[in-house]
Amino acid sequence: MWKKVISRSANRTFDFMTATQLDEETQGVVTEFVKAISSENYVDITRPEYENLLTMLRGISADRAELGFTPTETAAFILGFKEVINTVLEEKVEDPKDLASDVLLMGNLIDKLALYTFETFVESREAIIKKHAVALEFTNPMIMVWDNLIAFPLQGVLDTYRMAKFTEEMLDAITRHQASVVIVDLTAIPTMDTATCHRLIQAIEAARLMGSEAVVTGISPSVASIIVKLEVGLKARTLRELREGINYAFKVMGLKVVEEVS
Amino acid sequence: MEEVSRSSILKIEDFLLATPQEAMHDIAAIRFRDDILRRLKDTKVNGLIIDLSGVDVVDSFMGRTIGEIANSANLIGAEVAMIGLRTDVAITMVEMGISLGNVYPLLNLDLALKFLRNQRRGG
Repeated sequence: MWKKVISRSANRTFDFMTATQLDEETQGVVTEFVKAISSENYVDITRPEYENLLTMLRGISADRAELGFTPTETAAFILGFKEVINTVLEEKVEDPKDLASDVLLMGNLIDKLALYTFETFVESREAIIKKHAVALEFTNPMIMVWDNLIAFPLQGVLDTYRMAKFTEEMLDAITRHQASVVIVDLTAIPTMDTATCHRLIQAIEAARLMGSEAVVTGISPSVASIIVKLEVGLKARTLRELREGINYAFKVMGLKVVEEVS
Repeated sequence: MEEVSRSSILKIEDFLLATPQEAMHDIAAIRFRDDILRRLKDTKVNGLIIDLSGVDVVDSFMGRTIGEIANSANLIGAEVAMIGLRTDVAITMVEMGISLGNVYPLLNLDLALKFLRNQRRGG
């Protein structure tokens, strides 16, 4: 019956989980709930008899945060339980006076459990958001093309923050790999704002001061016109494709690609 | 009373290797410059390598002084290579607009020596 209440109030539930999973969850919660209230403590959920139930609720809300449930859907899960309890009480308790006080007592208890569930749900969501933010920071892959030749194929939306981060990563990589040439590939960057572009020019100048020659490839027309407008000038060899960039780098480094004669 | 400079200036092959080891406040920077130029004149070397790996802060005065050293060294007849620039120092220098047009930045001592040898052969 609880399941019916949940599916009525949060009809997206079955987009994320199967009926069997929901069955297991509701069964589990009911079992632990019955165990907890058999202690006749209906008020204080911090007592040890509620520990198993709370652990279970924490697990459920964390799962739901991971699956992408909305706060309403998560709340509907636990508040739906209240409706179930009320119906059960109506059937079992005959004296209307007793019924009223029992409904109130259970209502308060479930509200406490709901708040607890909700709190852990928010915590889990925050943890997930943080994880995404971290993932966003590691989006500048470096390619070790050859000895002393590294390439950075930039992608995604570049802002000044990411560009500053990229500058540091690039300069560190230059020192670490003793890269005499570094290729910055902008093929996947359709456009960027003026401030970011200025940072890019600074990054390339910094690479030069470190003793590395920067080659910029794949500049889009839009980026090109922004660089021109800046009037600072990009002090780097610019080429159309990554392929040409690598070819140029080999020439600078005194390397030659020879076709094998068979 | 004059402090003892902790910057070392060593002769290597036909070149000088200058390594400032201290926080370069203005007086130290000037002394560093004068020391180098005196040694350049005395030793009659063909090149100068400035190793900045021991320097973690470069201010605008230090930046200008390096430029002056390079200009003077060029006039005396020596090419100037710069090595060991730290990442954050490189970023600061760019942000301050120090371009050091007459200094050849290189990745390491090996490359700097190779570069200066080639310059000498050419001149």
